[in-house]
Amino acid sequence: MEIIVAIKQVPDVALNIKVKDGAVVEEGLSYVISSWDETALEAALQITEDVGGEVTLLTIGPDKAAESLRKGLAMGAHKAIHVKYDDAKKTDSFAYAKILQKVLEGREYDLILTGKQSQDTDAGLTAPMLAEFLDLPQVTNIIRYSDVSAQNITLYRQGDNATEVLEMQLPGIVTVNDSLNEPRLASMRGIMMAKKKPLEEVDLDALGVSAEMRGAQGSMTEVLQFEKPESRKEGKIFEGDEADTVKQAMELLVSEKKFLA
Amino acid sequence: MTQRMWKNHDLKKSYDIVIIGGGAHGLATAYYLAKLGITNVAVLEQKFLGYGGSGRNTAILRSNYRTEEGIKFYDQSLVFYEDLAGELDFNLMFSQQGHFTLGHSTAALSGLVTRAENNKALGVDSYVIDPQEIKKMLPEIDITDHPRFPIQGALYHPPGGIIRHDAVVWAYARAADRKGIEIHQLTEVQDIIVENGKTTGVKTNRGDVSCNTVISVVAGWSSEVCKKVNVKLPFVTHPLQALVTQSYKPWLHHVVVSGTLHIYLSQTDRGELVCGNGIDTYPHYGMSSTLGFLESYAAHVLELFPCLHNVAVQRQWAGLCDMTPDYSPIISPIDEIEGFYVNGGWGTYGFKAAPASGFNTAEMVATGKTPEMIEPFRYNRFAENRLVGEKAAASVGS
Repeated sequence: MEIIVAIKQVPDVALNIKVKDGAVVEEGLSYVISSWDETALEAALQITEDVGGEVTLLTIGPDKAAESLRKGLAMGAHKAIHVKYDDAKKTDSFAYAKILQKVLEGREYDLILTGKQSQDTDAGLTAPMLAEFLDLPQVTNIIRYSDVSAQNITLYRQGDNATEVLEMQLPGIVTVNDSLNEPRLASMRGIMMAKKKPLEEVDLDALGVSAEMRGAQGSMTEVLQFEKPESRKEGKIFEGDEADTVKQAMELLVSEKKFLA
Repeated sequence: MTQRMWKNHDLKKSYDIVIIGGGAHGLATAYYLAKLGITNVAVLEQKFLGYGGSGRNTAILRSNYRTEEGIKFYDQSLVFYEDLAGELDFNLMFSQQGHFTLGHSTAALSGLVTRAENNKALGVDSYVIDPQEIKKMLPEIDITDHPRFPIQGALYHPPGGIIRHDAVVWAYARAADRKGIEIHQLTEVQDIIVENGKTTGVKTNRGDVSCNTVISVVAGWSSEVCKKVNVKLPFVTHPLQALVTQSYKPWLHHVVVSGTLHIYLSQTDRGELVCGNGIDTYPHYGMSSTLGFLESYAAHVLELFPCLHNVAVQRQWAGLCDMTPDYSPIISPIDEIEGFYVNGGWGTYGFKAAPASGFNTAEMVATGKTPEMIEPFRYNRFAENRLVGEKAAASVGS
């Protein structure tokens, strides 16, 4: 089973992300693999450990994106493809899907796995668009899989009242929910071995991605600006014994907040 | 209702002393000032207590330094640490498990022998042992000639060990608070007011405060604070990265350091391995973690302990180290500005020094005289060419 795992390098959302003049302040950011994509990588590793085959990581991004590929290789992926690209800010899902189509045409694979969305934009559009462009079947947001064979895979999607069970022909595209698994941590040996695994760099010109397909020109939407969500208002801590603090809280709810009025 | 560890206060218009920095050193200074009866003191912390180096270290304590000045000072600190849990009534989980500094070359061994002799002369328990003796205490270590840098011996320091770093911060904070010191978190000192060569107050994001004494105890941010009063001291800030692994059955019962490989590791009571590396090679204030650090650490630690190949890395972090040219701190009044004191330049030695640093700084400020113990760490030693060279005692040079 040859599996391609498409990953995106995103700012670490565990850190405080600052917005200034309508743009994200890049200074002080640290970058990680989008967490849903890590789930996809873990699924790919488990499938190949089960039925054999190789996992190839694929990302589009600037030089620093190579670090995320190395981290994925340290987790156990076999090789990686780095499509060098610096114009991320003006690029939307449509343009990314088009570039991915170019990268994947002519390559051999049975399954493409990726996160149901990326942690930075939460759009969740790239994989479905790519499936359309490559004319492949797609199943999104899976919580489980079973019965993996060379021709088919059974996939489970969680609905409000029931689980949807689908059988998909391969090759196809699957996006994953983070409840699918707990991604493994890289081991010391994995970190060492990652340095020696093949990392192929792909140049957009050599790939035949024209200027019209890149950045703002290749995108159908444009991000005008970022706005920071309003921060939560200061809380209030009541001091005293239980009866006293309950009384104070009730007074606040009734008199100031008009909660029970 | 559970009693809170320390209280919040409105910021007063005036204090006798303002301490900038709510880490282990700043809080220890406040605590020892209070013990001397000086309590009209505010500790101003721009983030939260222990945000800086106090929360970003590898919690190793030792006193096997190289110079007489360094050995005496760090040993005073270690002796303080031995009794600190009792004094502050807080379990600090100090484990005096013994500390190895490995030597991988004749030159390194000769340096370790010098340290051992200096340590012994000053009553610090520390001696050089051969690879077979190392193997007895660290059965998993590779003492063969297979690694690139085979182990030739080690400086063994029985009283060294590890402590719970957050607990030290919290314990000092609680004790200082109980003695009447005011702790102010999220209070950033934006400027220090100096009039006619005298310190008269600070400007903060919560308003101006007047005081006639300001002590800068901000480690990695020392240059930035000194800049506010146009004092240029030879601090250069480099980040230092560290990592923690998943928890494993206890197997490593001592702290292991290699100056040649620039790594050190210990195992916590919870079973994680806490691992540190050399400082980043160029100065900056970024505290992000890099893959380069992981790769370098993995390569080096596997030379010492090949059995760790399957150990999984849980988390990485970085802290700031305010390096000085001689790897010794600056604890000093600044002669040009009356009432302005600097406690910084801890480099990678800060956490182990917190009690002695706080104790002596408090005495220096309270009495107006620099105690003999920290006299060697005055800032003018650089101009007077009397350096206290401790780089040879570092495991982490760049």
